[in-house]
Amino acid sequence: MTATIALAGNPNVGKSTIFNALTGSRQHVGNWPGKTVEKKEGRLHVGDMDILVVDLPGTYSLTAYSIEEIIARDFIINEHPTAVVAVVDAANLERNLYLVAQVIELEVPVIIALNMTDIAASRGLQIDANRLSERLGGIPVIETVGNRSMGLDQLATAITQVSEHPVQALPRPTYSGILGDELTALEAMIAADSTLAGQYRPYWLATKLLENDTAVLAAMEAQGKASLIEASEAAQIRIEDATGEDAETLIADQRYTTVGNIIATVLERPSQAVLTTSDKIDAIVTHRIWGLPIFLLMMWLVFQFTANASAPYLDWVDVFINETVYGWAGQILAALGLGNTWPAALITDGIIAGVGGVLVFVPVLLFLYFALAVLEDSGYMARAAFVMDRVMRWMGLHGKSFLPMIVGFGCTVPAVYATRTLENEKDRKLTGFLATFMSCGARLPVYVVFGAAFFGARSANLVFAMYIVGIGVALATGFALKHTVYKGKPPAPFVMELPPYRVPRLRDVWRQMGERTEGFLIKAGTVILGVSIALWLLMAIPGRANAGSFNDVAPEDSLFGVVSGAVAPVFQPAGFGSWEATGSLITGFAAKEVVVGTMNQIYVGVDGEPEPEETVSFTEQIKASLLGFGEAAILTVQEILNIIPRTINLIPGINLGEINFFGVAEAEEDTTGLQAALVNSFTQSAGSAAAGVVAAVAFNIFVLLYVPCMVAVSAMRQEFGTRWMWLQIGYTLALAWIAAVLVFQVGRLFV
Amino acid sequence: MAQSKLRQVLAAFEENTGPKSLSQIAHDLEITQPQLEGMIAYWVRRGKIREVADLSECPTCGRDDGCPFVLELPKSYELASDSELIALPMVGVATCQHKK
Repeated sequence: MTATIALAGNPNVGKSTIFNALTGSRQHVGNWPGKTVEKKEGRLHVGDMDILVVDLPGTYSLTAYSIEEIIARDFIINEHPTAVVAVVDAANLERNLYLVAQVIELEVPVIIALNMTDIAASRGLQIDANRLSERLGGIPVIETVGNRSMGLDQLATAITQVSEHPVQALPRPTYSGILGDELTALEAMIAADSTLAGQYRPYWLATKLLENDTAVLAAMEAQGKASLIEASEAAQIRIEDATGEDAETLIADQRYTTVGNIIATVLERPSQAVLTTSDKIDAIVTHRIWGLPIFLLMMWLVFQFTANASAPYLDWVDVFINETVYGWAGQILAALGLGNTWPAALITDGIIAGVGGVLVFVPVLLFLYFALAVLEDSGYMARAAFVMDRVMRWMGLHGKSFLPMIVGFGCTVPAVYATRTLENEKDRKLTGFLATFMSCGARLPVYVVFGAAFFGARSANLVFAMYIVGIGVALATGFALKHTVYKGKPPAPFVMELPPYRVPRLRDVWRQMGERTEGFLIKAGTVILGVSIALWLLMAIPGRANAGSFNDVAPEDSLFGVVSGAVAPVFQPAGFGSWEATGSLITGFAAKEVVVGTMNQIYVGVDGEPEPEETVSFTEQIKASLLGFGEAAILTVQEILNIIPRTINLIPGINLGEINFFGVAEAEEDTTGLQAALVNSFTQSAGSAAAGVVAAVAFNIFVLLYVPCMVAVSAMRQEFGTRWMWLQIGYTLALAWIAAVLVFQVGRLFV
Repeated sequence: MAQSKLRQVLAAFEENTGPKSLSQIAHDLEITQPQLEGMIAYWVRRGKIREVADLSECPTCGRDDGCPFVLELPKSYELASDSELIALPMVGVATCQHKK
């Protein structure tokens, strides 16, 4: 005896798992005729029964809105399977029963596989399967856990029973009022047509005609059933006149009502308070007034944490790379007979100073990515987008624009691609424009090194200020463009699922930290390495006559120094018109991390001399490094604890003391060679120490606002075109210069 | 004439003046969130509401596991613009494949 069973269900309900469990290796995979949708068939043998099992495409509905839906329902209508096994996700019963209701309307025997009952139980959902069967007119309901092969024997038995006795008492959906009356009238008209009655279940066809189902209408037209279509249209008008609602919506609504009524009698949820804990937190966190200050506070804490907690490790890595590794490299090169040669200079002053100078900031990025991952995993980032939607729309921008901007905190390039989430081209371009002002991870090393050099223990304030200025400039630019170039109607707000808050999972946080830092390391090993070598070369080549020879030239007389020196006067009004600062901004076009690498090469790689290590053995150096690492760990704990008093001290009149494990002000004591050189250089170019601090802030403003990097520019060209790319380059350069000049010129009036 | 629940869901989107969460709307309409999601799915099929697409992947680095900076945001919806209401979704349009 043979039979055909179709497996139907929503996507991701474990349908394939049940299919595989029922059919084992007796499967055939192909495509549905004329379609690219995969078709899977298999055989189930129970006793002397040979059952063909067909896995239908996963769908949420059986309307004509997608090819999967058409395939699924055409199979049921045209192939007349013995029964349909509707695989239902027990943990999401409401959504799944809507499809079941539509399968039932096809008047085919149905078996429900109530799958994933273990997940439903773990969520405290109790489903009365017997009652569900009862409410669905006696349809067999079998509880299964497909991935643990539970309930599959019972399902196979139910399949054989239905196959052997295919006549099942089929429940019939009921529609009340005028809808029911019109359906009955249309059904009678169809039943009287022997051609149609032989092809379709009349009641189902009447329903589809009232739903204006495009595929069914096309089929009726092809069969010349114009009078039926006219009758259906007339019925739709009468329904709409009587109810004020179109028939399709009314039918769907009654299905949802039916499903809702069934759910109310078969599903018991865990006792729910009117407001969950997440709801109560959201009442404050996403509050119309408090939401934004809370967002700013969260950002403040992130950067306090990042800058302070990473500072001890930053110092440790700095010593390790710029002294220990630099010293080892010098000793090895000397032992190889390469001391004082250009290859040695390339390795120590070029590669180690350039790449090493950037790698120093790995701890900073690790702590930043840790903090951001915690926010994401806890569910707060979704709230941030929610809160910023209001701000964005107030500025005339689309709330969704903030999503790419959040991505921009990590990297500008994916932020540019993330603008694809906006359907309107103008919104996409505008958002791509604004995303470049968000401080990406590559800009962070610049802020951190300047923060530590000029603001000491309060370096986090500079970092925080730069991030906020970036957001502010983006919003102001967006506001200006939206009210001039891109005038349009105000965008509609969006509705978002706010997942419950949860304690961040260490595994996920660790994975995110690792993956994001890995990206930084890959960049250090490729782009930054390449730029460092090129930069060393340009600094080794004399830039003017009689300035020296290859690898024996004063930095300011090198090709790089001469070119940078020629551009430097442009930045004099901003207070940083030195060739060193200008040169690092030029290389920063390649990648923003390179700004720090270049400074390290200029200030430390060439001028700095490695500490003599001859008297310290290798073992002692390793021991000192390990001890330094341990000390950094203790200081990190100290710095994290001190975030609390530092934050409270923001309130005027309060001045809490800070914890100090070692009894010395570590953060203020440790100044790296690069930091000291920066203070000297900026003091000199700005005219005084106080003006130097303002010039340093102006420099950071320039780094924040000017062209993000080569790859981001390339992404912009790809997404928005060459003209837009040049417009962006021109605008960001001009804006960065004007802002830096303003900051310096106005700022120095107050110092 | 009383509005159908489905129509009330659409009205909640049309009359929405600020960002709202699904749970807020479900609470306002006195239905469960899964019911609301099902009803939103109906309007998505009708082309009146659009599910906000996942943020696009960035192809630059060519990482097999995708860009680590791209956020996986929760499901979001918005009212479809007027221009899209002219044509309902055509047969053959791929169904939403929300990343989970």
